[in-house]
Amino acid sequence: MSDIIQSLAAGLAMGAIYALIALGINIIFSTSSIVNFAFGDLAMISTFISFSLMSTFHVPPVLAVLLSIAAGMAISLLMQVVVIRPIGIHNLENRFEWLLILLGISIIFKNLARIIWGPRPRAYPNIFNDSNVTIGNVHLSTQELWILIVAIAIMVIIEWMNRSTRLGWAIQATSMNKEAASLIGINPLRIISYTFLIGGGLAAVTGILIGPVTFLSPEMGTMVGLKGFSAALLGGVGSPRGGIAGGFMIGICEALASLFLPADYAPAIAFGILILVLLIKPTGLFGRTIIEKV
Amino acid sequence: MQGEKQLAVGIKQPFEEMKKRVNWIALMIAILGLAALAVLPLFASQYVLFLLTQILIYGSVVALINVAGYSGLLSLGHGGFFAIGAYTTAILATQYGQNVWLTFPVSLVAGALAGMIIGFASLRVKSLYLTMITIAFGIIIQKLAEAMESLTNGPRGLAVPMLFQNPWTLYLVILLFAALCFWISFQLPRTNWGRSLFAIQGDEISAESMGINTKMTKILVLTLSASLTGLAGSFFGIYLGYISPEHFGLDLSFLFVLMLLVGGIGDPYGPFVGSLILTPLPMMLVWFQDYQLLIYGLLYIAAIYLFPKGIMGTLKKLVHRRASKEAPSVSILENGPEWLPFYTGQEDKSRRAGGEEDAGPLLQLRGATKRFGGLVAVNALDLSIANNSIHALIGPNGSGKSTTLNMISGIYRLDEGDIWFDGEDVTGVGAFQRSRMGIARTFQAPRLVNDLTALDNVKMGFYRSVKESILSGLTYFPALGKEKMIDEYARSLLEFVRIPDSARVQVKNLTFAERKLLEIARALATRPRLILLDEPASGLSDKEMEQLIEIVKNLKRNGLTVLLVEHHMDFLASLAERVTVLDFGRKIAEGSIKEISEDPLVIQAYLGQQEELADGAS
Repeated sequence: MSDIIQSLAAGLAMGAIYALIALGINIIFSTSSIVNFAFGDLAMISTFISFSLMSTFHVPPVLAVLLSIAAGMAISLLMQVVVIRPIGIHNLENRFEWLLILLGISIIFKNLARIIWGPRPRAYPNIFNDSNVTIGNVHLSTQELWILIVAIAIMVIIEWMNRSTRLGWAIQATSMNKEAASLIGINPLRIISYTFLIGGGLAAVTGILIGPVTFLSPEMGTMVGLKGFSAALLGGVGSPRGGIAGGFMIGICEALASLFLPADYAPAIAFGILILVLLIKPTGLFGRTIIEKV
Repeated sequence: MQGEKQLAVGIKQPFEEMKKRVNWIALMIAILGLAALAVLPLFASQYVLFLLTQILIYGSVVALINVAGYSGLLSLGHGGFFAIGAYTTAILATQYGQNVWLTFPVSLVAGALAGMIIGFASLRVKSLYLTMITIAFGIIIQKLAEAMESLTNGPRGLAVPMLFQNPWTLYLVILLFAALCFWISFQLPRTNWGRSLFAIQGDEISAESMGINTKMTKILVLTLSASLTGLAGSFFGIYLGYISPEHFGLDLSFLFVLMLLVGGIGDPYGPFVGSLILTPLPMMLVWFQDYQLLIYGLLYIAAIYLFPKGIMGTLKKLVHRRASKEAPSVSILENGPEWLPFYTGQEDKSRRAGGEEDAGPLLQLRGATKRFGGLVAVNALDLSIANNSIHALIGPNGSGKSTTLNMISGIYRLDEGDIWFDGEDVTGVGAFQRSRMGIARTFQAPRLVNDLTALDNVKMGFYRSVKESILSGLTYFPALGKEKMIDEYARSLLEFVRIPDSARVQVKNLTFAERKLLEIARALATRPRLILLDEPASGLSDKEMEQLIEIVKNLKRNGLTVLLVEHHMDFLASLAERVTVLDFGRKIAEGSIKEISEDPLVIQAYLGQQEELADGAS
């Protein structure tokens, strides 16, 4: 029984990571209809940047984290330009060029990282001291606790932004209808850029949070990114709360499955759940069904 | 009538003759080319032979991805089908000591089953999400190959026995297989079934309205593509002599799509051009080992920026630019033909004559009700459409006209009531089946496949009305007669709707009026008895409208029944024999155009407080 509770706790921490990625993917998707496929790789690059800042240039951890978040935002904005430039912002949902460009970017990121930092996994310096917190008879590492705290704080901030700030309203207006939004004085391209900036920052934070748990490697972003994406799909792309729920679900399912099955099966399980859910409810658990007008 | 038809055929004779001769030459070239490819490795090094073998295997898979893409799916999971085939052969041959030849049918079946699963997924999930599912599928297969150690030997991989002592013999077998894959991707767009794939890609709703079973077709094309990809995987294992999960990573599926992208999506030559360029690349880049994938990534992006349609697409565009200068200007004929190509037969007339004796309506709605949430769009509507009549449905915006058409064509299911067509209850019958029974329709905003020519769009309509099996379509020569007939019919239909010059023009370059007429031609290709026209006159100029009136009159003359939804009163006045007026989903009046224009309820629905206005004026 305590085994189950213990892995539930670990699953909760990983779930928070997936939920953060899903949140980042959702916010970009809501304005641009682009599913940022290179999100995990962007997280990886940002984490490596903070790693180099700390270990090579001896920048204090807090500053290094802030700088790498800024780097994540800048790279994300650059991605937006590269992806949207050849296609334009309209009718993106019916094109697939952006998907292929993002695949290309993902390949480039991975190999740039391999060239700059080498293919070997590296240990990420633990910013918080490496200790355990015991609640009842469940042990959580401080890192896992921090993941949960930071993730929940970010979720609350994003929710607040969407509800009570002018930017949040503009994002919602743009996601409903770009043409109509531009008629009331909103520049859709600018709002899309803002969401890419927010998404980039989220990617960096996610990478830094997960760095000490998994090792740093050029491949670290791919699987985490894909699972975060699965979380977004599971909850229904475009639904921030759905994505968060989807993230925790995948994290917990994975952790529970690892109790009964060899660890090799874990990735197959995460994606198996995704396919199953999409087959049962194509719009995701919290997605809305759209009736096409003829 | 017969004379006129022959005249039309006579005009097109030279074109067909030319086409036929070119086909023979193409066949000769194809055979010679295949022979040259077969003997080529005999004059080259062993290294070139291996390289060519791999180019052909990859090219085949990319061709099969292309075929699946005809229906609108971009698959990033073909590496999964490929792995399934490779592992099927390796496990059966190495672990269970079976004959390698005997494993091939098993690979085909295993690939087909996996394709069917993704096919079922494609019914539920659309475009982008489906692509994501294919990615997830590819990952699952690779991870399972790693995890199921007792069968697959895990990450250490499996040896695969040789098929022939001489690698050239294996090359010949793979060459034949590649030729088959090329042929399928080349010939499919020229068959009825292949055109139905493009119709689905363009618009599933209008595909159903042409009698295409979109669900079945999507499952079928994925099953076909996946099962052959499985066989390609078997060949790949034999060619390498050893397989491990590493060979089938996500990167492989990406590489396939990159090849398709560089070669040109949708073009039959594209996959092999892409494979020819990209397969040797890793070997050429061996000095830049570290930068290899980086270059792939840059190629991905460069391909999209520089050649959005791939190398073949770019070449075609260059050729096309020269040809398009000679293209005839598009204009509407002054006087089109009054006959429909295959409505001149006796069979239909006798069927209709029988119907007239019964004097029953061709179409009948009884208490038809459709609700959207709390909104009742159509409320207990009774409607009878007499055979061979021109019936109009009018009413203010939001009165339920389009909903009624959607109920008749089967896009919406009724919440209450029933629909009878030609004496049969069709309430529970699906859209594509109603089309097959003889209900055709056009859409308020034309739903055509914009990237294809007008002629190809009309040809899609013949999906059911001219029967042609997939096999006879693919074996080409038996189908030539059918294809010729379809081509003639399609051109005659374009003449019938008076846009014959648009045949070779892409739909996106047609005017709005031409598109509306083209949709009528496509609907007629399904050989309907009842045709539903959703606001055919909207957006048309006065002159175009006169043409349209003539065309609709010709429809009646040819024995069809027409149900129109229209706002334009002058247009209706010269056509409609009977008019039904809807308001807030209810029928408020029915009769001749004169009767309803004097009906006080109708006047009120359209003009609101008519009496007050009248009082004020007097």
